[in-house]
Amino acid sequence: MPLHGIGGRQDLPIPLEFAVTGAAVAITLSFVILAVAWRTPRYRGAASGTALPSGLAAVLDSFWLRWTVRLFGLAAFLYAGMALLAGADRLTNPIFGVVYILVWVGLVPVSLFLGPVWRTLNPLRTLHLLVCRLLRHNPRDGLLELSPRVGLWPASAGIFAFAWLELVAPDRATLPVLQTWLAVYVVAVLFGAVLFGDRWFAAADPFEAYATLMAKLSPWGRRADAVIVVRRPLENLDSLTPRPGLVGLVAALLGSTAYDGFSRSTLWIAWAQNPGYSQTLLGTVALAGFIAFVLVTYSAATVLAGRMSSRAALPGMFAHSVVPIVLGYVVAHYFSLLVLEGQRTLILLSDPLSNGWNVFGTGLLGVNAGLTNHPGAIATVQVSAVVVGHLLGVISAHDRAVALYARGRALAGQVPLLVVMVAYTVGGLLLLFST
Amino acid sequence: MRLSPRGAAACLAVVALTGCGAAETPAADTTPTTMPTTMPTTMPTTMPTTMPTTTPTPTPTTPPSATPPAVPTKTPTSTADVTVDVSIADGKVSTAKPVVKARPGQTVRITAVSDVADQLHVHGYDKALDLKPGMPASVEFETSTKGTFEVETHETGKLLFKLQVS
Repeated sequence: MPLHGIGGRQDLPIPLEFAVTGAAVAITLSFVILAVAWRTPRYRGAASGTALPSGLAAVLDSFWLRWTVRLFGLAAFLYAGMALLAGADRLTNPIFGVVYILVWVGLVPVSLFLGPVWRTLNPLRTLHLLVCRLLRHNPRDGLLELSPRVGLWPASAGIFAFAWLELVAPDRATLPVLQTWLAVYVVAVLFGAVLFGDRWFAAADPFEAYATLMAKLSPWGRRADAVIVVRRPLENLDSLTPRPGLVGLVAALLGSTAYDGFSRSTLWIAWAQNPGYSQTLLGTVALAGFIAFVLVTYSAATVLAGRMSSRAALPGMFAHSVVPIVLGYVVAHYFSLLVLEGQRTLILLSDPLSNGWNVFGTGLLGVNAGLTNHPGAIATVQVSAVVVGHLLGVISAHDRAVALYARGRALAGQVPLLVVMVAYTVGGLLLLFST
Repeated sequence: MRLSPRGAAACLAVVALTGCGAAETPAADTTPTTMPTTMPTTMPTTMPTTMPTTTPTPTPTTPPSATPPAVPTKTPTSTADVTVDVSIADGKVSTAKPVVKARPGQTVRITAVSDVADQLHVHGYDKALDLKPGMPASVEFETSTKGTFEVETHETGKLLFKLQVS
């Protein structure tokens, strides 16, 4: 129940014909790809890419640029921390917009356009690095060895915890709740870094893990020989290495975004706000249910695909193909929110303590809500995002299938995954249509 | 979170004309969330750290200004384009439709009655309406921004209906 979540406005439901057209296009394209697309793998993942000019690469890898970005991230963190700790407990405090909009939604476009910059921006990583430098300690070394089986599971749990905060937690738009959550987040991430070294950030920081995943759809990457390269986004996606918890991470992202749409439907609210039920408990169960649904259906499809084509199929081998579908969902649900509430947050940021400051000179600007006059354009973006995400997902899965399986069997092996992807896409359109 | 100062002005004018508007708290957008205090008893053990058990929920002060006593027995004919009647009893919400549609520029009039003291809030347009137990009260405003806006109660945190402006 988005009562008092951030953002007073939600998008209009997409028109029925948009939803039907979107679904029809998605299903048709799926079979077209299955029937006519390439029969030999095209994407070479980490081995691919055109190296950037050496001058540009040197600048990107330079000490000064890295530290500028790091210190920018740290400064932004400290500035937001001031609003978090000393600001007023009302919605004019920019911290709500900073966390729920600029960080959580904003990290997606940042990673798509700039590639894997979040790990450099990550203020906790920078803090850890600075303390390690001060103590003349190698930041990679921790007190314990992190088992490779841990993989991305801590970050998946972190995504669940954040989605719970944003969509379920009682009083989530109040300062004490946000303070508590962020305090636990900072302690858990930094404490883990002390225990396991800086590998912990990639494994456990939900924001960094999410941003790193989305950066795989950017054109920027690093080749196997560590050279910075530009490559096609799907080729970049192909370089995502399967590891434990990757499926969990993808499922947590897709499931929680779907729950966001579902929890705003009048049907669910009418039922869940019945007196006698705990809305928090129902919300928690439903959120976990959505994530579990994605985890189970997706894993089952890949296992089934393995049975149908070869024996050695792991769910992780196809997890990358769900990333574009996640992106499609995220764009469809949060695009207008980012535009409108993002502006509001930038305005509010000038007055972090609600005492009349105008630090950046944006304090007196108004939100340009012109976008809301174009519901047709918003609906078009939403449906296109879901359908294009689906299309890219099917293409990625197809390429992986022909790379893994013998010719002929690859086709059969794709069918279960294709069915699941079509279900996610039609489900996504249904959520946009009904909410 | 104020999207339409124009709407507020229009609303005040209409309220003044019809003379049956309840007091509106202008600072509705800055009121922190107040959720039922019985909420977080049944949380799963996996998420103990984020428990907001000690959240100091500020109790909303009932407006000191004397509201016009009760609504006249004869409901005056409203000039609003869209009218919605809501009643809340025993924690249950009854409305004719869960989704109310309006076009931009139309006036919407919400008449609500609750069996407990509460505050009705129109998200996005940031209209607030204080509800006294058993006393019907109304708020009227002009729509402008397109989108879906939730109309809910502050105290009990219930969604009353969604206002769809398209």
